[in-house]
Amino acid sequence: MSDLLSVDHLSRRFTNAGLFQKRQVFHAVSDVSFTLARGQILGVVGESGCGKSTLARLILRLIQPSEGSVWFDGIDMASLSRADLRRLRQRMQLVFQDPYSAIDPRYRVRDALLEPFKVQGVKLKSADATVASLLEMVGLNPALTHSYPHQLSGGQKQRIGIARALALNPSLVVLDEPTASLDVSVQAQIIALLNRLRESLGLTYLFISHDLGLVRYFCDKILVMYLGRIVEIMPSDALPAHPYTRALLDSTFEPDPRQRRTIARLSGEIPSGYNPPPGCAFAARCPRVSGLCRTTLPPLQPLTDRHQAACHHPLAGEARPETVQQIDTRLSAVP
Amino acid sequence: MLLTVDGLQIGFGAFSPVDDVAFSIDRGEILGIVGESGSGKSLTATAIMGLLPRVGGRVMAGRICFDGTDLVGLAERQLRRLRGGRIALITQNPMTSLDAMMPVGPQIDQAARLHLGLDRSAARARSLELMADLRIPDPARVYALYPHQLSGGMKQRIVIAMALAGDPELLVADEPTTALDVTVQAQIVQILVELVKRRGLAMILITHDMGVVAQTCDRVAVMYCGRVVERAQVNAIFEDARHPYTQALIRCIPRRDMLRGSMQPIPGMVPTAAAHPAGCRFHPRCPRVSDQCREETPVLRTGISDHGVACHRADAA
Amino acid sequence: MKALHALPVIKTLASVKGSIAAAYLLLLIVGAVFAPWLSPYPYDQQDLTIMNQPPSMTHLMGTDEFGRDVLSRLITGARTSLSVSVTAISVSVLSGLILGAVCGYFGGTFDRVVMIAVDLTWSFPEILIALMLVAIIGPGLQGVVLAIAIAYLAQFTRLTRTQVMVLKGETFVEATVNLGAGHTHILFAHLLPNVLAPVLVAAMLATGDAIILEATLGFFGLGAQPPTPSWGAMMSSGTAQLFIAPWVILLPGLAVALTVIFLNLFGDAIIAALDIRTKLREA
Repeated sequence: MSDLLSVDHLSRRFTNAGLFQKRQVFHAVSDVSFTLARGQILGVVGESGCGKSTLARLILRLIQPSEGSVWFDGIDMASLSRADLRRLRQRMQLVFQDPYSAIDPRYRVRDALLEPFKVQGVKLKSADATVASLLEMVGLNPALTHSYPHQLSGGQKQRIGIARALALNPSLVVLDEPTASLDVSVQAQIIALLNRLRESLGLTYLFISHDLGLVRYFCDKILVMYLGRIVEIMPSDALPAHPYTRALLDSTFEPDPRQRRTIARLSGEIPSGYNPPPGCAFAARCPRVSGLCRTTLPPLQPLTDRHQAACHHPLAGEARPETVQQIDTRLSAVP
Repeated sequence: MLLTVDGLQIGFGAFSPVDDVAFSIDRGEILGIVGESGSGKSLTATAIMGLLPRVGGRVMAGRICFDGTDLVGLAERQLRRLRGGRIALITQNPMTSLDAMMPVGPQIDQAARLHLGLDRSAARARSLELMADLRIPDPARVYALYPHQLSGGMKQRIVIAMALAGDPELLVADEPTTALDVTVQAQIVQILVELVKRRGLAMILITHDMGVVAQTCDRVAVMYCGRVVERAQVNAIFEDARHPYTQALIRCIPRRDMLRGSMQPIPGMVPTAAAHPAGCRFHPRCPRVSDQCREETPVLRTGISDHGVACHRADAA
Repeated sequence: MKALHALPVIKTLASVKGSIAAAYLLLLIVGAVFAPWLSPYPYDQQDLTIMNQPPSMTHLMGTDEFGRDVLSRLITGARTSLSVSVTAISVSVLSGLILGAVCGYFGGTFDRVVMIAVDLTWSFPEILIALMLVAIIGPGLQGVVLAIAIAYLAQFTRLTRTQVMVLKGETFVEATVNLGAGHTHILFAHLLPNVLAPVLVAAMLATGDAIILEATLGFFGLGAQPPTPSWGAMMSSGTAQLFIAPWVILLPGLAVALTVIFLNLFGDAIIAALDIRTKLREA
C-alpha cells in the first residue's frame, strides 16, 4: 500500500499587522507530519481554532505553507507551476462544511455540476448525460437539474457539493466537516453516501470533524489536533493515550441513557494561537498536568507502531488497540 | 404539573406546522423535545414563550397551561410579565441574545431589575452570584466585559445567567449547545442539568441530537412534521422505542460499538408544512407502512407507564 | 423552472410605482428616439410673428422668444438629455466595473493608487469637475459626457470593489479555485455576474442625477450649443421671459423633475424586487 498523501513538518503562521496595531503572529498550524495511504479514511479531529480547516487548505494548497511540504502521489506540491497545480487540482477535491454558501446562488444545479469540466477544459460527449449520471451517483432526483440552490434542502445541497467534487474523478477528497451544519438524520444519509462512494470509486478521504464519535465510526485512522499541533495519531479502534483525546471522547453524547455519566468536565478554554504557551498547549486544562508540561513541549512519540501521542504522561496501558468488548468492559469499570 | 400543553395547533397562513401537540412537565424535570428541522419543535417553544405573533404565527387551538393559567389568549402585558421572569428562554445562538454594545453584566441585571424589582447594586450582586454559580471564573472582571471579548462557551453561560436572573420556574432551552465546541457543549449541558436538579426548575430541552437527550432528559417527546409521534420516559425511548421514526432516529447516531457502514439512515427527507402527507405523516418514509397509515392519522395512545405512541403499526414490529 | 411571478422584471412591473414609472420612462424613450417624427414642428423653425405665445391648440405648450414650438423642442431636448446622461453613465459604469473588479480582486499597490485617484474625484463637486473639463476641451457635449462620467466613476468603482471583496471570501469562490479555475473564470463566471444587479440599479439612480447635472451645465451654456435644444439650455433662455412666458422655463423644468422622480421610483421598485438594499448600503 503506497501513501497517496505525505505531509512533512507543515506549518502556517498568519501575520496580522494593522496600521496602528502591534504586529501579531497567529500560529494556525505548527509542525504537522503524517501520511495517508491510498483507500484509507483519515479523520482529523479537533475543536474550533485547532487548525484543522487551515490544514485542509494547506494540503490542497489553497493557501501556502510557511514551512514544510506536502507530497501528493509522489509529487512535491511546491514544485508545481501555477498551470500544473491547476491541472492537479482535479485529483484532489474539497467538500465544504456549509453547503449553503458553497454553490454560487446564481448557478442552477446543472451549471454547478458542469462547471468542473468547463474549468478543466474537459469536452463532454453529452452534458445532459453527465449531469444525470452525477445526480444519480449522489442519489438525487434528476428533476432537480434546473433548480437553484435556494430551492434545495441542506442535505440536497451537500449532495450537489459531493457530486461537484467527484465530477473530475479525484483520488483524494478532503471533507471539511461535511455534516456539521446538517440534522443528525441527514448526517447519517451523507455518511452512508460517502461510504458507498468510497467503496465503489476507490477514494481516499481526509475527513475533518469536531465529532470524535462520528470519526471513530467512519475513519480508519484518527489524527487529533489541539492549538495547531497534532497531539495524537491513533487507529480509530484504539483508546486514547492523550488526556485531551480522552476528554473529547468523554464529551461525546452516547445515545444510551444507561451509560449516563458525569462527564469528566474540562475546566478552562483553548488558549489563543496568537500566544501559544511554551509547554504543552493543553497543560492549563489537563487533569494529569505536571511542572514539566508547562515548560517543555512534548514531542509526538510512538506508543505502538500505529499509535503516537504528544504527551509527557500518556494514559498508561490504553495505547494498545483493543476490541470493542474490551473498551466497553473498561468503560463500565470506571467509577 | 407546572406546564401542560394540550392539543396545541399553530397556524401560519393556510398551513399548520404544529398540530395536536400535547405534553406536560413538572418541577425538577427535564423534558426533551426531539425532532429534525421542520418538525415544529422550535415553534412549539416559541408558542410557550408567547412569541408566535412576532414570527407571524398564531395558536389555532389547544391550551398552554402554566401553573394553572392558560397562556393562550393572555394579554401581551401579562405575557411580558411572565416572559424572562417565571418562564425564561435560552436560545441557540448566544450572539443574537446579547447586546454587542453593552457589557454583559448589566445585561444580566436587567431581568432581575425588571422582574424582581431589585435596585442596581442588588441586581449586580445577584448577577455576580449567578455567574459564580455557573462557574464563570473571576465574575467581577467578566461582568464589565463586552460580548466580543468572551468565548462562545462563556457567552452561552452569560445567556444562561440572563435567563436565570428573573428567577424562573420554567426554562425553555432551544438547542442551547448546537453552536458550541464539543468539550464546551459537555460543560454547558452539565451545568444545565445541575441547575434543574439543584434549584428544582423545570426545563424543556429542544434538540435534534438523541445523544444529548440520552445524557440529560427525564422524559422525551419525539416530534415529526408538527406532531408528537412518541412520548415516554427516557429509558423507554431508548430501550423500547415503539414508533418506527423514533427507532430510525436512534439508529442515525454512531454508537461506540458500531462498525462502519452499519448505521442505517432514514430514506427521503422531511416534507415542508405545505406538503405534509395525508394519514400518518411519516408513512412515505416508513418501513412498516400499511394502507391504513396512508389514510388515517394515528393519534397518540398512551399505554402502560405513560408511554404514548402515535402509530397504527406500533405492535407490528 | 423558476416561477414566472418570481422574476425580478415581473415583480418590478407588478408594483404600483414600478409600473407607473416604467410607463413614463417608456414614453420618454419612445419620444426621444422618434423625436423627428413625433414633433409637430421642426425644433428650430422660427416664426417671429408668434413669439412667447401661451399654450393653444396649434402649439400645445406654447412658443418661445423666437416663436419656436416648445413641445417640439422639449421632445428633441429629451434626446439630448437622455443620450448624454445614459452615455456618460454607461462609460462610468463600465470603467467602474473594470477598475473596481481588478482593485477588489487583486488588491495591492495598484488598488491603493487607483482608489486614491478615484476618491480624489469624489471630493470635488461635480460641477467643478465639469467646469474644469470644459475649460480644457471647450464647450460641447463631449465635455459634458466626460464630466458626468468622471463625476460618477468613484461611486461605481467603490460599489464594485466592495462587492468583489466580499464575494471573493465566499465559499463558492474558494470551491471554484479548488476546481482549478483561473482568475478570468472566477472574475467573469462568479464575481461580475453577482455584482451586476446592484451596480445596474445604482446606475439607474445615478442617471437621474446625471440628467440634473446635464441640465445644470446646459443652463450655464456649457452643454449642447444652439440651436440644438436641451432642457437646461431651454430653461436658461426662459429666464429672460419668466414673467411674460413662464411656460418656457417651467415646462422643461417639469420634464427634468418628472424624469428624475420616475427614474428614482423605478430604481426603488427594482431594489425591492431584487432584494438588494443591504448590498447597496454596504458600498
